[in-house]
Amino acid sequence: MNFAHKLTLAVALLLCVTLSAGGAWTIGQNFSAALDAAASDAAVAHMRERYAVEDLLADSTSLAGAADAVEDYAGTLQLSGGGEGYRFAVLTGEGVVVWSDMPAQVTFADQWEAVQAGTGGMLYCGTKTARYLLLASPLQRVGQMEQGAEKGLYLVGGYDVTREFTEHGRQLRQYLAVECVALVLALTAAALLAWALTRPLRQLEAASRDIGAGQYDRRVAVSGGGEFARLAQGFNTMAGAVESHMEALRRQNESRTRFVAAFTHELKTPMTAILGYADLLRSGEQPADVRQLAADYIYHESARLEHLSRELLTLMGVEEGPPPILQPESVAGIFGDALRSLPDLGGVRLESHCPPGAKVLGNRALLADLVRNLILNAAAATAPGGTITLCCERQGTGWRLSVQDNGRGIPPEDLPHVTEAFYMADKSRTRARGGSGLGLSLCAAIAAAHGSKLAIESTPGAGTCVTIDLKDGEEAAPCEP
Amino acid sequence: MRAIIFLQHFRGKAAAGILTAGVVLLCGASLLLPGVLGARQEAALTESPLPRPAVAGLPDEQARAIPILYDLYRARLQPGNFGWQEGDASLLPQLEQCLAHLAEAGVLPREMTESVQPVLDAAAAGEEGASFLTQQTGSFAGVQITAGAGTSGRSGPDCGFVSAVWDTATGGVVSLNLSGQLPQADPAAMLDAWRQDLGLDALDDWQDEAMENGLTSWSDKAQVYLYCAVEETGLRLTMTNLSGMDKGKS
Repeated sequence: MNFAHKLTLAVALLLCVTLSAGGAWTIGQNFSAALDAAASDAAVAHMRERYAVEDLLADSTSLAGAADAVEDYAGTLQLSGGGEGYRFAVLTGEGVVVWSDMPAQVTFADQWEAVQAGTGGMLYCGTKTARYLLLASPLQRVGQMEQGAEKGLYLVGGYDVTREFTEHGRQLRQYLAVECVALVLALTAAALLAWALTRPLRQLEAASRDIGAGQYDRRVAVSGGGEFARLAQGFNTMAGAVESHMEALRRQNESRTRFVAAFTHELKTPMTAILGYADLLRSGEQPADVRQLAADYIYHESARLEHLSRELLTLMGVEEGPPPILQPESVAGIFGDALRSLPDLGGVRLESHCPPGAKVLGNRALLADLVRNLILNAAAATAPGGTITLCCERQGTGWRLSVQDNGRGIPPEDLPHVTEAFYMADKSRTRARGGSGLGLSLCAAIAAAHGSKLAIESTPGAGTCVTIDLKDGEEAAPCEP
Repeated sequence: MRAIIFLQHFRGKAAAGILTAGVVLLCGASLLLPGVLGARQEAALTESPLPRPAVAGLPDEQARAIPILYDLYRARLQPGNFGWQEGDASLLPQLEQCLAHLAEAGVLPREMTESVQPVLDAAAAGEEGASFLTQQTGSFAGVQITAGAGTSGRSGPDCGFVSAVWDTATGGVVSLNLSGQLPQADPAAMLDAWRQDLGLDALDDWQDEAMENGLTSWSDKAQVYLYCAVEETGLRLTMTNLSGMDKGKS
């Protein structure tokens, strides 16, 4: 069941019960007050009437005489217009009616019950169309009747209270009508209010469905500053995080797919050559030059595979292994390690500039690998006679290591991809020199392991400059990045 | 699975429908509540007798049991007033009886009643200048006699005016006014005797207060004010029924 539906029902029930209870109590109190006022007036009037009748019967000696006297009095009362709505009867203590002008709705049983109630009681009687309040009192200090009234005489007064009862009924009917109208209006207002209040929830529900269906860029509007606005903001923040994670997962997935595809391709190429030439040697006796050729291909391709696996292992160790321990290392030492491991660069001149005493926070072996790979890449791109400059210079509070060449440069379309695994701008040249396409990937991974990143600037035909910024090792203690 | 989803959906709809129906029923029952309670209230009124509201300003029940007080209070509520009208000597014998009764009860000194007798005789004889005023209110009767000029030959204290109101049912005098040269008397003793004669000494809350030439006494239970004054030129006994509101206004 909708929240709006529940809210509307709750409001309706609460309003109905409150109105009904309040109305019942108020109308009941009004009715009681009206009856109390009528009863008080009737009690005073009854007392006056009793004294008047007592005076009237002060000298009576018989019931017949008393009846005549009372009848004359009643006639006088009627003529004078007094006692409107007032009826009375005189009864003996034996239950005999001396005189009465009570209406038919007031039975003798009612009158006798009023007598039994005494001077401290009163009685309501009658029908729906005519209601009377009966008060009865003994008549004192009246004449001594000859017979028939040994138990005394009683005056029973009947006071018309039909108007109070009629008014009570009218108020109840009127209140019911008002209550129904109020309920309908309140229900309508409650339904509209509930619908308006839950509108943000419906928007959130729709947005959740859309995100579940794949629309990760779906957001909800935020307005106002209340709870719903904060909920919407939180939802948008969560949706943004989901979108970012999904995008990262997608890119990661794509990267893995490309890596597997490239790795498979790089593996397949040398394996095909090895298998082919091995199969040739197995097929039969071959001439010596053919045997030498086959052996050379098998050897070189095997060496390439071995280099590939070694670089892949190093790359995986850097990317997925535990973070390397970084400690202050001499830049001159790092440069020296790298230079000593270099092969013949084929006529390319190598210059090195490093301030004495320069220290960086890093892993010496990894940084030496990084520098070596950058130099090898630069040498591959530089023609004999060209120059590779290895430099270390202050950059803010740290150091900037750079490898710059004046070779052929990297085409702009290849620049964003050069650090991807197995990516080769010029596949034929790279394979010819035994490259696997993992060099710059390994350099980028080493830079990331040091909390930095490779910055590559290149101008086709002019050369390439690769830089990495490292923290100063003089003041820092050994730590993990 | 689809069947489970359908059942769950149907169960949800059924629950919503039941809840809505339940609320509607409760609302309907609430709407009828004032009518039901109102009918119950009306029915309860006719089931048995109810307490009668007390009438404000009534004297105490003990006081109302005293006949003279009952008659006095009843007379007070009757339409009309204690209005004097021209009358005759028909009430004279009752007046004489009242005076004799007051003497026997010790309220009036015998000399005082004897000094009044000539006035009564002169009035009864129709002496020139004598006038009669009478009144009848409920069970109370009254006579007012003014003596004529020719009341000579009398010895002792002289009286020229007699007015009295008494309850014909009990014989109790509620008002007596004598003017003229009268013998002296003790107002306190007269008041006590009068109170006793009327049966008012049964009440225990009389508050006496001395005044010039007289004494007043008030009872909250009876709501009655007694006044007794004796001077060289007259005697006055007055009993007035006042409610708590009226006290102090006379």
